[in-house]
Formats: sequence, C-alpha cells, structure tokens
Amino acid sequence: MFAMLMNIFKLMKDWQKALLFSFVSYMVVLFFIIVAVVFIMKGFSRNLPVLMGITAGYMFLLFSTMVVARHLFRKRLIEEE
Amino acid sequence: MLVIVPIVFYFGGAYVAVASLVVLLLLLTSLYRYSPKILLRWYRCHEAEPATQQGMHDMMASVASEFAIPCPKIYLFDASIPMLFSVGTRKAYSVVISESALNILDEDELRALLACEVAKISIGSVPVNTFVGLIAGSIMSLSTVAMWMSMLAGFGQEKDAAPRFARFLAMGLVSLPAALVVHIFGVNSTLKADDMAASAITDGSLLCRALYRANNYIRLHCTEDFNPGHVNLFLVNPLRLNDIFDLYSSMFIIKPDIGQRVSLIKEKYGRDGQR
Repeated sequence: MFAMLMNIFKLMKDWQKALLFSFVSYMVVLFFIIVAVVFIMKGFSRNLPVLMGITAGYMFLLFSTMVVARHLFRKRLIEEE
Repeated sequence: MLVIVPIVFYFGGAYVAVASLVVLLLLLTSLYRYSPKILLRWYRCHEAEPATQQGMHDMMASVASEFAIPCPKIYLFDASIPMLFSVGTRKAYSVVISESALNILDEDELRALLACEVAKISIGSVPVNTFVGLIAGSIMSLSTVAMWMSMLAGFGQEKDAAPRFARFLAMGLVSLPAALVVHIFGVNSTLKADDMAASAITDGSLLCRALYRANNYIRLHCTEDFNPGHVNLFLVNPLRLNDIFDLYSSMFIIKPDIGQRVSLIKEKYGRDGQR
C-alpha cells in the first residue's frame, strides 16, 4: 500500500505535489478553526450542524480554488527538466 | 481585498461599506503608483552614477532609441548571478541590473539582454507585472514571517526542523493565492520581447548566447533565495527545485524554457542569428 502511494507520488509533477501539500496545509487551518469553534461554543456534538456547515463551506471554497488553480497551472506552467 | 467590502456591509451598513471601498481603492491606487519604488527598495537598488557607468548609460540610450521609448533609469543591485528586471508605471521606468551581470557578461551580451528588458517596456507589460510582483511577493513573504515567529517562539534556529516545517506549512497556505495572482493577472511577454530584442540588435545569436550564459550561471552559482512571487519580473527564471522545501516554487515557473526561447530565435533569425 505504502509502496503504491510512493509510486503515485513519484509520478506526480512538481506543481501537483505543491498543490497536494497546499491542500494539507489548508486542512491544518480547518482543524484549528474547528477546535476554536468548539471551544467558543463549548461543545462538539450539540454544535455539529454548525461545524458541518463551516467545514462544507470551507471545503467548497478550497476545492473551487484548487480546480481553478489546476486548470491554470496545467495550461501555463513549464516543467523544469 | 475587495472581499472585505461585503463583509463590512453586513456588519456596518451601507455608509461604512462605501467608506471602506473608497479607502481600499485609494490604497490600491497608491500601491500601484509606488510599487516600483517599493520593489527597488526591496532589492536595495542604487542608481547607476553616470560618472562611473557612462558606457552603460550610453548603451541604454541607444537601445531605448531603437524602440523609440524614453530612456529608462538604470539601477544596480547586489546579487551573485547575472540578473535583469524592469519596474515602472506611467512612463517612468527603471531597468535593474545585478552587479555580477556587469562582470560576467560582455558588452554585446549585456546589450542584448538590455534590449530584452526595453522590449518588455515597449510592449507595455511592465506596469502590470510590477504591481503583480509586489502583491505576489508580499504574500510569499508571509512564509518567512511564519519561520521567524517560530524561531522567536523558541523552536530553534533557521536550519532546524521546526522553523523549516513552520515555513513549509505557511508556504503551503500563501503559495496558492500568490501563484493565482501571478497566473491570472501577470502578463507573460517573454517570447515577444525576445523576438523584438533579436530584431533590434540585428544579431539574434548574441541574445541566444547571453541567455544561455545567464541561465548556466544561475544553475551553477546561484546562492540567493529569490522570492517566487517576483519571478514574472525577471529575465531568466532564478528559481531552483533542489529539495522538497523548493517544491512550491514550481507553481511560479511560467517563463518558457531557455532551450525553447533560443530555438524560437534561431528558427526565426537563422542558425547564425542573422535575419
């Protein structure tokens, strides 16, 4: 499994790896937003709809930006040899 | 930045939203106007004195007259590699040359590269790229701020794992918006400028030689970390992809490869570069 993931990672272009790590960084931010909201609203399970709404909105914006970026990068980026 | 206006409208009402819009527009206009000065200060550039660089001023005047534009000012900055870029708005332009370019390139090669920069000014892509460079460069600088904050918080020195990880994470956050700014708003006039420069200097092989030389020198001897947000300003791409920490730079490599640039010049102007 790990070898397969490594193979996929090696086959990816540099800008695709950069986008992947960027996605992970934004997920870390989402984690901290959820932690902050849980602390502010004092509870996780009773505020689940709010948290799900925040997550859905955040993920929608992030995926839209990623799709636009992927489209632009595929067209314009030059791969270094 | 304009995303702020609807948020202000929601919290503060129409008057506050209009006021914030006016302030934002003023801020953007002044940023646009002062972007060349900010970038010149960013690279600690100093104006080339006519007394010591008379040959360079004469060369610039002759190249500018070829393109029928007012002679741009010449600035010098300290870098280990031969690098040129242009900044400016509203018909007041400056061409910035690294001091090592003066030592490494011969007079003909320097003239060819100056012609490239002046061609970019003549095309009109410089004002937009200056502003885009400032915005994208400023966004990218936030990753350095993150690294310094982690160092000041006691997570170690510059080369230690924790500050580097903080920087990597911060770069993941800032690279995407900065790269999108460069891709959406930046104007890539490299190939057109190459063509115009080769035509103006009448011997395209000089430009090919100069580009190869500058590029080889950058690949072998570059010691600086250039801001990826400024890459659309530079004549040759100075970014290197050596390790995983340079990965985000790959989002900014929009300049055509030197091989492609040279082959297009040779295709148009013949193998010896003559038309």
